[in-house]
Amino acid sequence: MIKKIFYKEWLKIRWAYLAIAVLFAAVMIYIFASVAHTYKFNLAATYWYNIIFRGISFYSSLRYVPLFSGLLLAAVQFIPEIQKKRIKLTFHLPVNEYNVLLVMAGIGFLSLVVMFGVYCLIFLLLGYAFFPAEIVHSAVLTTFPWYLLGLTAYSLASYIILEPMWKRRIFYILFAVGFGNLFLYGWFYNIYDRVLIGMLIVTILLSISVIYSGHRFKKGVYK
Amino acid sequence: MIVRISRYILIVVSIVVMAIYLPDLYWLFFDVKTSSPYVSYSPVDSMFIMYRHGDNGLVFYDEEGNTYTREEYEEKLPLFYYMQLIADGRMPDSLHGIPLDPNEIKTNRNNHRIRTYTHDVPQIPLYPLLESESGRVTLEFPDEFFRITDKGMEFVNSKTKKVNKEKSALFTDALKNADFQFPAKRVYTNPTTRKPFDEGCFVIDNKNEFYHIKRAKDQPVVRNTRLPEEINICYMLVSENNLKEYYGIIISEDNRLFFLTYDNYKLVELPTKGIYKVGEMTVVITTDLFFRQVTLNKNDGIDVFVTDRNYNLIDEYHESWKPREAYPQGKVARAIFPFSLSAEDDSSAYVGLYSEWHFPLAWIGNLISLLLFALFVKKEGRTWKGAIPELILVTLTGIYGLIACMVYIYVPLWRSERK
Repeated sequence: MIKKIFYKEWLKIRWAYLAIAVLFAAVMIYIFASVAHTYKFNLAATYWYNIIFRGISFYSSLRYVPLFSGLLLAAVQFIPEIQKKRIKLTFHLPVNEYNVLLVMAGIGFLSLVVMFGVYCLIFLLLGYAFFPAEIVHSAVLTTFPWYLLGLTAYSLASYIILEPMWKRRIFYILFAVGFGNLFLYGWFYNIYDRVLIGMLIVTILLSISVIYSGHRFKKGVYK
Repeated sequence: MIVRISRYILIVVSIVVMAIYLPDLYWLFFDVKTSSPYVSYSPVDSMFIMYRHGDNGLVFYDEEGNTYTREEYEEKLPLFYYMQLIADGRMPDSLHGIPLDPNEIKTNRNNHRIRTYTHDVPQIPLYPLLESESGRVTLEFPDEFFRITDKGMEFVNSKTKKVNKEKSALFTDALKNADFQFPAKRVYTNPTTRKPFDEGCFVIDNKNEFYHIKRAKDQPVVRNTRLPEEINICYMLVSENNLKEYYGIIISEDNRLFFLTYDNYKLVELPTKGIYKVGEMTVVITTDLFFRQVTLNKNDGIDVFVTDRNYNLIDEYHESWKPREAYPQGKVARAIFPFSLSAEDDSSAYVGLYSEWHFPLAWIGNLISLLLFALFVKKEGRTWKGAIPELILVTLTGIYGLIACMVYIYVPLWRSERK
């Protein structure tokens, strides 16, 4: 059964997933093409100086990409489910409804983790080609909250989409936007280093949020 | 079970979000403007003179309450406004028998500001080491950046990204000869070419000793500064200036301020009378032909100490004003919001969850919230026992808990969906 759900989810997300992969690839190409360009036209030492002492980042175009990916994936995965209340069909399958929901959300979450992981690694390796390890590691740690935001955005978006009532959704959106904003402080590099573990834990905890809306959906609380 | 867990996680997240944004929103409407004075010590009258932003522009006055025009104010501070005074032909030739030479004044005039968070800013551990004796008039930025790891001091070329093995070995050996223990714990430097000369960098080694490392004609110059053992360095501001009296300012872990002087790295303590707290106050240190001045800016006051050129305290000025928390709207805020959270704080550049607690005043708001919540519970006909977790939550988190529970339990308002 899980395998079949996996297939169904894959059908829903495949184009979006591909689009996200292409977007990431485009942004990576842009970032490192800009870096190469800067090296060509500026003194390397000045470039490093600007990065190290003025906090100018060469990777800021990456900032909203994971957020966008999370939102897009949640949308393609869960909006079809609430149209004509299709998810009710899933709830009538001879398996535990919560497990089905967890599997669905887990598939989306993990596919994002894989995508982010792969591109994080590509970023790291390309970074080594252009910068010393110190600058690359700082860059990876600085982008880390953005990836966590992508995952959090996925979890919160899917729970907001699945929430049956608009009155509540408005509050949910307010809380989610306020929360997401906390991941985007960025006047300098590495400022999140001391809270990354905490953010990671919260991101994992929030990944089950969809259960709550699913539970309400199942009970039939809609107006 | 898992439904309940997910609901509580969502409630906690919403409480955190509200505790961050709601107090800010409140202060957006009710904030109080306090204007702090800019205080200087007049060498003409030997008293404090200052200005602040009033309702009708700048107000100039002295510590005794006499007010001045802008021109009079400038004339009281010839070491600060000498350019303007010379341009207007108002500059005196001498003061108290000491000739006022513009170049002398300029050389002696320094202004250093250390912000509340400066000691706690992330730093990529790569630094330039400028050539200090190049023979050129201006400083030049090097192509190489150094790191001091447990292997030694390594110079990385920014063009080739390769380590300059020769130079690295040269400096590593020089450091080893000076008993430097790798790796470096912290490096302080002033990485700019916009300064009259270069003094290299100051480095804390692995055994907490403080080294001065310079590059002179591409040769290493390494000295152990042999600071007193009881001084633990929290931060150093390196500042090369023509006065050539000190290498920079050191803040110690026990909140003391020092000049690290050219007199064989002797520390000269600047007077703060124990008022200074790193992370809470912005320090401004100024030097001029006559005085050294330490200004401590807090959000509820200002403390100024003035010494002569031999660092003997000659006068001090203290003023405090009500912070916004002491105003009625501040008390109301403390009663409404049991705590406020913030991702940022003046004391650090790092993001964290910084909290400020408002108890016991907050019990007022919390009890009102609890009462309101209890009314809803009763109206819904829920059992008290079933509502215990939420009742506890509202008691502790007041308005935030109330809103969160209302959203997650009672929206649509007035009618529970439990029926």
